[in-house]
Amino acid sequence: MMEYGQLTGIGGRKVNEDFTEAKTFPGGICVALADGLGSYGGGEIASRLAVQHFLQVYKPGMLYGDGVGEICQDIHRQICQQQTLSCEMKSTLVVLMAEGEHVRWMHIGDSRLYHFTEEGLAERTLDHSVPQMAVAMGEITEKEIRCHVDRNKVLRALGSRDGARPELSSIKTLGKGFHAFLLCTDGFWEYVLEEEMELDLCRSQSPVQWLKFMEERLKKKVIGENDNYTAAAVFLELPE
Amino acid sequence: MIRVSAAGTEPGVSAEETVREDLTGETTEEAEEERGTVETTAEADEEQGTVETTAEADEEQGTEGTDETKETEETQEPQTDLPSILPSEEQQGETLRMVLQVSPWILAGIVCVLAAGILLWYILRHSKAGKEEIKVKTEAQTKQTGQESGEDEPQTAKESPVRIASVHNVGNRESQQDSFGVSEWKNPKLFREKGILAVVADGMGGLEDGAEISSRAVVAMMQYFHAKPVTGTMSQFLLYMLQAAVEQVNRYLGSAGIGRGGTTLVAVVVRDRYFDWISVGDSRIYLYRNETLMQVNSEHVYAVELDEKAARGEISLQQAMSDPQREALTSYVGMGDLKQISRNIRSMRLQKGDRILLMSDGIYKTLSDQEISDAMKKPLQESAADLNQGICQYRKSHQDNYTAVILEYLG
Repeated sequence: MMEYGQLTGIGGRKVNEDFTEAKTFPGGICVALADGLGSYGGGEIASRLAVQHFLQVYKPGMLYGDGVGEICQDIHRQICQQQTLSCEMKSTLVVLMAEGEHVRWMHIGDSRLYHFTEEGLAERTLDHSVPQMAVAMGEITEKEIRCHVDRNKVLRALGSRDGARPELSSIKTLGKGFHAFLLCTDGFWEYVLEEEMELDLCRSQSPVQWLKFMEERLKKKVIGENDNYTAAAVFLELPE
Repeated sequence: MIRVSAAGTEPGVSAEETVREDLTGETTEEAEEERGTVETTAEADEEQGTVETTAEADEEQGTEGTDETKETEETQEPQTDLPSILPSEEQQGETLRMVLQVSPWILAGIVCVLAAGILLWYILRHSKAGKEEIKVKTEAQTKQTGQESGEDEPQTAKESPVRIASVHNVGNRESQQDSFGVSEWKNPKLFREKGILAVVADGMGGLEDGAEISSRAVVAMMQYFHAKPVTGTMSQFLLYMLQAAVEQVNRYLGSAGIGRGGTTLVAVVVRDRYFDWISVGDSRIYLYRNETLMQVNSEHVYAVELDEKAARGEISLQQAMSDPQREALTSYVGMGDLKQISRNIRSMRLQKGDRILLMSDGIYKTLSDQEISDAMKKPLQESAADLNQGICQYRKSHQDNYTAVILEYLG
């Protein structure tokens, strides 16, 4: 069984610079989600380019090789080509590739991927950001990332002058039973705690319902002009 | 246990002494005097008219006793053949004097008992916030949480990984319409097979029989939990329990009463390392983990629909916020077929130190999430006491009934 859902919200901004899409094929799915970095201009162009190009190029079976890294580099070059002096567009990117019982993911920036099982949160990607680095150095806790003063400072991004350095996970073999994946921009995970994600997952019959419950929490918490928020969710049920 | 205050007794007189006087009609000393008098009468009968008084009687009666003696001597009657069986006038007078002497004490005793009774009635009739009433109001309940002053040790079974504390207070209302129950958590067999069930129900005050309905709903769930085997998942079992509660309440209301009375209901089962839950209405379930309080269920109130309409632009935000029906329940036990149920599909894994809170709206409509969270930072028994004290401090004139059950997972 495999189900997919997505949602996006402009929040308190004038433009939604987030973008997400998915591509399904027999026995598998590829989901891509990106967050254009607003302070550089053209963020909505960069995020849409990143997602659509990746899905256009991705083919079943590619998760087993190193080709996905090349796709990222290609995206990075295209973003750089569209940059101007006044518009140094950049974007994060997080991708989930699932085929049968195998999954793999790749990310660059602070958009996240969470993997849940029936036992709760199994894994999440680590942000390429200043607060995440502070956690790695023992200066703050994971819990303090959300309220860190440099929370919006991203250390890696597509279109960055330092080049694109995406992080590719190993190929994972999923155990039997239920698995849920959540891909989301920082405008989403900032307001929804991991425990809340898990609580809402426990009462959701579908990815769409899961996202809806979490969005309700987000809307209750936001004050003032909150960031765009976007999330995509996948349910996988591997038979016993 | 309800203690009767000593208010209303005479200064220097304890309630016990006063009661003893009332029951016997005389003090021990006076009883001895009577016996002395009786003996004196018997002696007088034997001596055919000679009245002798005991020394004690003389002391009690003072000059009167002396006068009686003189009178007796003066009015001494000649000896007759037949003994008199009726008390003489002197004896009658003496008796009357003794009665007059003790009667004030008797009257005082009666007044004190009446005063104590009136005070007791007043206390029971007009319970104020701050007085803690902890009694589980279900027939299937087998334990009593003890939060009377000085007895607020939370219950812990030897084999149970869960500690429990609760708060249950009438607030500033005429009657208590909240009900709650916890399963026999000290029963190792039951705990192993089914875990621990906790239920809180808030009877709808504006409608009929809120207290009776909330109690019936809790009892029905408890009875089903204890009596029926778990088939399928615990989440499904909770659904069956809820159905039992719905049937019980609907049966009680009858076809004419459906929709005229009702109750909210929140229930949680902790089994092994997981918990499951179900809810109808606006009572809440929270998870407290790592010093963070998170609401578990969704409330079934009209405010949700209004806010959605506002989000879609169908009405303004101001209209949504000011709608007088905003707090109205959109789903409750007693409405017939339930419109909405909030429940989990998959069990949630617990971590050591987690707390699950079930509460009626009397708690969270007075205390903020931050205040509730701050209370949870303390040891369990203090947390429950803090919830109660926090509400009392607000001194709301219309403070609703409030109930909370807190389960702490020890791992």
